Parts: sequence; structure tokens; C-alpha cells
Amino acid sequence: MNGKELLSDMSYVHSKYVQEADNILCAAQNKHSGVRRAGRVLLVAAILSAMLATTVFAYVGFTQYENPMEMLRTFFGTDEYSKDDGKIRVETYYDLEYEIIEPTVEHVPVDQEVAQEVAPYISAVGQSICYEDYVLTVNAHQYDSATNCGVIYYTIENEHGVKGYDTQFWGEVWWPGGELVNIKGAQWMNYIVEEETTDTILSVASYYCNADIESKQVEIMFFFETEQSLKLPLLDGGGMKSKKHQEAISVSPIAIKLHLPYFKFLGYTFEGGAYMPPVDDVKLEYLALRFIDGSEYIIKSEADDRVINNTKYALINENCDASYIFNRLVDMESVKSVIVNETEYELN
Amino acid sequence: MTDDQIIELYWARKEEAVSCTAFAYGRKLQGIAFRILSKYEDAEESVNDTYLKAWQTIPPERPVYLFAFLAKICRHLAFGKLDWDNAAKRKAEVVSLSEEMQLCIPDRGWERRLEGQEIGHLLNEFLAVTPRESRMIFLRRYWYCDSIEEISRRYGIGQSKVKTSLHRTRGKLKAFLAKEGIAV
Repeated sequence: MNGKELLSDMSYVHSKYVQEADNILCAAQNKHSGVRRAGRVLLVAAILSAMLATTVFAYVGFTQYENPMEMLRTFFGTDEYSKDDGKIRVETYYDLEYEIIEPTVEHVPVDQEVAQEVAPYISAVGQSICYEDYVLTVNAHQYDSATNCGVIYYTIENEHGVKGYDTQFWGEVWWPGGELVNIKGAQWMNYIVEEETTDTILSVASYYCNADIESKQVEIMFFFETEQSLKLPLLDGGGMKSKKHQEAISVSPIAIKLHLPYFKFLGYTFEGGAYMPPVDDVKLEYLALRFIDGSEYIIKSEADDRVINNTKYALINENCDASYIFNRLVDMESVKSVIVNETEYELN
Repeated sequence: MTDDQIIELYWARKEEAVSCTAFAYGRKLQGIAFRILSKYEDAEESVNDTYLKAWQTIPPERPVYLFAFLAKICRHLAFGKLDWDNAAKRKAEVVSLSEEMQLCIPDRGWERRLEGQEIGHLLNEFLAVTPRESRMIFLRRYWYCDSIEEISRRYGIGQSKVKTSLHRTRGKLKAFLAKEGIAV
């Protein structure tokens, strides 16, 4: 027997295991931050903003998106402050009961001044590709070089109807039958833009982390049609303001990135030329930004069996860098430090 | 339409059983076949053959897990179509997967020839004692042929954790197969 035969003969595995792997890993997901959280569906403000003039930056290849304020209000805030308190629900799976603790999520309005500062760094795209009766159009792209995170704003259109996707109650869009759209060069999570979605148009905000800097682009395409793709260069229009703590923490208005092995109490080891996570789950229990007025933005917390999750998307990559995209815009002028578990790290 | 309702259509020999199957699971089956074959036309052919096979086998079969039943047929057909030499030239993902699976084959020891179903029986024994999370990650990689990135996204865990889990599970499978005296 060789590897090819063993791979092929995996087809004889019992159906119950095949079916099990096709389902969501409900209980395990709630142990990890930023993956499954309670939240309201995003709302798009009805008022168009004309507060920013469209300016073509000198950054080669970068053209500013024409409606950045509206996009930021959609992707990083709400009209009014609200809070979803975490509930506990029980799910039964293969005769076992799992207690799912829904996180507490805070929704805050977009800080207009911060939005004004961030808006110039959203680039216009306005390109489309087709597959069967589907048209994928990318409207805008925001990339943050400090954290290698970003947002892609796109629509999928089909005059016969866009079908086959599910929307979770926190706004995430996924395709149970297999993703229709794929993004290469990053890892991502999609949210529906409810107010712009109809039977024939699905409007999506795709938050991504871990962009591939070496390839200098992310690529978006239809899953089954790999001949065409839209290549989005990782340009940031000159760079949003950001702050750091040594090389271990980077913070920008939209995201934070931490190199987890730097925090010794998390127990990462260096083996065989790579960082390895500890055998037990990583216990990053509390992550927050502290501001100069003493207030805090709790990014995530799992302390005291209470889960708080104020992120759009979170990811730990193979280099053991953890990235969290915020669910609000953060003012770089007033953020002063990062709290990781009980330790405070000054930013500069 | 539920799985039970679709199965009843097969039993009643109603042709809409196939169209209902395609509507419910077509894309997923296409995904499985495409990951193995990397060619849309070949994948499409595997999926169509799956529908034919389902029509031919239900009844007398009455699958408990309809999707898994269909997916197993589809996977088996896709691997039957796979040209390994061509896949190697294209550096297809399935070649990497077979190399990873090679790591599960124990070093030369007591030799036994095994049929595919016997291997399946052993794999089921192994999977029964494997922790659920590790088992699901293992199946997604070596049954569904997902990439590390896809598994990471599906289950909301980091890529390093996926790789670590696979590394450990492969090691355990190798030890298990060695205990059973599996041939190289």
C-alpha cells in the first residue's frame, strides 16, 4: 500500500464520519475568538456623504474610492450604539449536548473624524468577471499594511437570482454547498450588506487577514472558473497611521496584529524551525486597547466564562501571528496601549 | 426538501429525485470532484455519474446520511478518473495529499495485502478513537481534500493549529497501522 492508495481508499470511511466533517465545528469554534459571534446585520446609512473630495493620490496605481464614508459606516460601525448580551444555548449533535455561549458584542457608531482620516486609503476597483450567469464586481478595496488586513467590497449579480447562500444571524454569509467566490492570497470571512442585497444582487463585505505580502496582491475569482480573476494590489495609498510595540504588536484604525510567541505566558515553543502552539489551547483570554482617557475597547475576552467578541474576523496564521479586524474604527491619536491578558504594552 | 423526501422520490422511481439531488448537493459534489481532478469537465462528469449510480442503487439502498452516501460515490468515481502522472505534472494538490498520506504508512514490517474495504474498516476503527476535532480536520484534509486554508476558515482555527493537528493524527495513524501489521 502507498500514499496514493491510502488516499483513494479513504472513500471506504464510514458515512457518519464523512457527514460529521461536513458540519460546522460548533463547540470548538466558540473556544476561539472572532469566529462565531452574535451581531446585528450591517446597516447602510441612507445618507450619502459628500464630506471628502475625490483625490487621486500620487501613490502609483491607487485611486481613491468615491464613497468611502458610506463604506466605512457600513463596514466599521452602526448608526447608534447597541449591545448584544451573550446568551447561552444548547445544541445537540450526535446525541451529545454542547453549550454554546454567544459572545457579547458592542456596536458603536463610526467616529466621523477617524473615518475622515481613513477614507482616503480605500481604493476604487470597479472591475467585473463572469461565470455562467453570475457577475462578480469588486467596488472597492481597503488594505492596511501595518497589520496585513483588509476589506473587499463586492457584489455578485445574477438576473435569474443569487441562490445557495446562508446568512447567519450575525451577518456572516456562507455557501453550504461550497463557496461560489474564492479569495487567494489571504484568509477571509464574508458579511452581507443587507441594504444593498436583493434577489438578484448579493452585496458583500469580505474582511481578510494574513495577506500574502510576497505576491503583493490578493486575487478574487469564482471557485470553479479559475481562468479569470481580479487582482487587487496590496496598496495602502501611502499608509494609514499606525502604532507599534516593538515588532510584536501593530495597531491601525481597523485591526491589530500580535506575534504570539512574544508573549511568553502563552507557551509557544520553537521546534524544527517554526513556532509551535502549545499542546493545550492558546489562552489569550483578554485583549483590549486602552486610550489616553482611561477607557478601553475590549477586542475579545474569555475571562470568567463570559465571551466578549468585538471583531469582524480573527485569525492565527502559520507564523503564529494573531490578527483581529475591529468592529469599529480606532483613533490612533488617542490609543495608548494594548492589554494582553493582564499585561499592558505601551504603543508608540 | 429533506433527505428523506428525496430518498422517497428514488424509491418511487420519480425522475425528479435526480434534479432534487442536484439542487441540494450538486455544488458540494462538484467541489469534491474538482478538488481531486482539478478539471471542471471531468468533475462534472463524475457528478453526473454519481447521480446515475444513485439512481441505480436507491432502492434497495436507503442511506442514513444521503450527502455522505453521494459524496462517497463521487469521490470514488473521481479517484477512478484521476491520472496521477498528469496530476504530478500539474503539481495538483491531490499529489501533495498522497505524499502526506505516505507518512501514515508504517516502516516495512509484517506484510499484509489489504483490500480497500479492509483498509476502510481499519480507518474506521482508528477514527472511532480519535478526538472529534482532530477527526474532522483529518477528514476535511484527506477525505474532502480541502486545503489547510479552507480547513482553517471552515472551522475558524489557525492554520498552524490545523497543521499541528494533522501532523499528530498522521503519527497516530502510522502507529495504529504498524500495530495492525500493514504492508508498505
